[in-house]
Formats: sequence, structure tokens, C-alpha cells
Amino acid sequence: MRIKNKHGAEKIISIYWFAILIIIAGSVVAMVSLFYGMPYDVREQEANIMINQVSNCLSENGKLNQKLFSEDKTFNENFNLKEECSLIFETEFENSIGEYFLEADFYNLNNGPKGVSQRDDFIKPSFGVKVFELSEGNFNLKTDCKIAEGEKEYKRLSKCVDREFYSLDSENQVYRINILSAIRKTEKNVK
Amino acid sequence: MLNKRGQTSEAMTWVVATLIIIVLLGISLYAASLLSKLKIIDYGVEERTQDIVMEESLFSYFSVQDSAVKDKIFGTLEKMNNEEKFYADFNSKFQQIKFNLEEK
Repeated sequence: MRIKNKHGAEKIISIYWFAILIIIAGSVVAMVSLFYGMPYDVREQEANIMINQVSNCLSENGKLNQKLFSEDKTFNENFNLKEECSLIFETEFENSIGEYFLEADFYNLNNGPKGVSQRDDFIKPSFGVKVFELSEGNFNLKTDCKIAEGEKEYKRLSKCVDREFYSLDSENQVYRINILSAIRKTEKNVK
Repeated sequence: MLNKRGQTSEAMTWVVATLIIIVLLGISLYAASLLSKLKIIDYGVEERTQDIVMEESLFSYFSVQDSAVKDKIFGTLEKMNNEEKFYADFNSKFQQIKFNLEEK
């Protein structure tokens, strides 16, 4: 009788250990999938890389790309940003309306507004007269950039990076080039 | 009677041990979910040796002949540096490009 009882207790204990083992293994799997299931949001990096690529293609060693200008020294309206800068906007998502947006605004600093203290005006971000603009991709993403970022509910919006640099044309006219890069790709970067 | 008490205390030990295991696993799961939210790569945190956008501006700064325009560009670049808009060290890059151009 006593032996039978002992066997029963051992059975219960082994079932208990088995249950604990399943719980621990399940938890470890859950922890790993929780951590590795959350994607890294690399859209900011991607946007910066895109800006580097575009700035490198629009200007080389501080001089604007000659293809930006037509023969009469005015900006070339037919400049194809995507082609000239070797950009590929296609993604693996089918029926995608466009995951990328790129815009480059050119401000001529030599033809700035007159009557304003030049130095103060130069330091203002709005300095210069906008003379040309190039854009490529899904224009709707630009509106996302205007909405404040950081809050949880805004994580699903596009990531935008805005940078500017200076460059000269062949006649040594100084231009401020403002590049805006916006990337949606929320499916791959945000959960 | 004594045997029954012994059995009860043994069962209690197992119950408490199980609870401790479950609580520890719960804490670990919560920590894993918190850590997963910290998977953010900040582009600006790591200082780089290169910032193509900044370098373009520096090259154009050294190419400008007009000293007034030159001063203005430098003022803006310095302001951008103070606002930490560059990803590489502005001063060392400035010196490096200046040195390289003078060498030429």
C-alpha cells in the first residue's frame, strides 16, 4: 500500500516538473520572440544615406553637377533625380503607392532680398531665393513630415530627415541646397 | 497526523516554488518587452569620420572668392555645428580639408 502511494506521488511530481519545464521553455521562447520580433527602425539611417547619395550626386567637391544646368545656364527642368543619382524606389511591397519621397530645393544666396542685413539674413534658415526644385517619389509623404514626431501614435508615420549644404555653380554663385528625405516603410520598421 | 502535516508543508513548498518561478518568468517577460522597445538606432549618437553633406559645404566655403560670402557661409556652418546638425567633427574636418587644399 505504502509502495503504491509512493509511486503515485512520484507520478504527480514528474507531471509537475514536466509542466514547469513547459512553462519555462514557453517563457524563453516568448522572451526571444518578443525581443527579436520587434524590428529595428532604420528609416532615419536610410533617409540619411539617401541624402548623402543625393548630395554627392548634385554637388561634387563644392561644385554643382553640370547636368543641373542647361546650355543657357539656367536650371535644367529635365534633370531626372532618380536616374542621375541612381536611386531605386521600388520595394518588395506589391501595389505600393510609394515608400519614398525626395525633394531638393535650391536657394540662390547671391540674389537674396535686398535691404535686409545680409549677415542676419544668411543665418536665418529661410535665407536666399528659391530658384529651383527637384522632387521624386510619393509626394503625400511630405505631409507626414509636418506632423510632430516622437509620440507613440506617430511612429507609424513616415520618417523625415532634412539637411542642407552649400554649393557653387560654374559662375561661383552660391546656392543653399535643402534636401528633404521621407521614408514610410512602416510595415518593416514599426510594430 | 504528523505524516499529514508533513505532506501539507511539502505541498506548500512546491506551491511557493511554483509561484516564485512564475513571478520570475513574468518579470523576465516584462523586461524582454521593455528591452525590445529600446531597439532604437540613433543616427546622430555615434560620431562618424565622414559627413558628406558637411564636406560639400566646406568645399564650397573654400572655393568662394568673396570674403563677405565666405564669412557668411562660415557663420551658418558654425551655427549648424553648435546645433549639432553635423555627424562628424566639424573643426577637425575643416582643418583637414583646409590642409588638403593648401597642399594642392
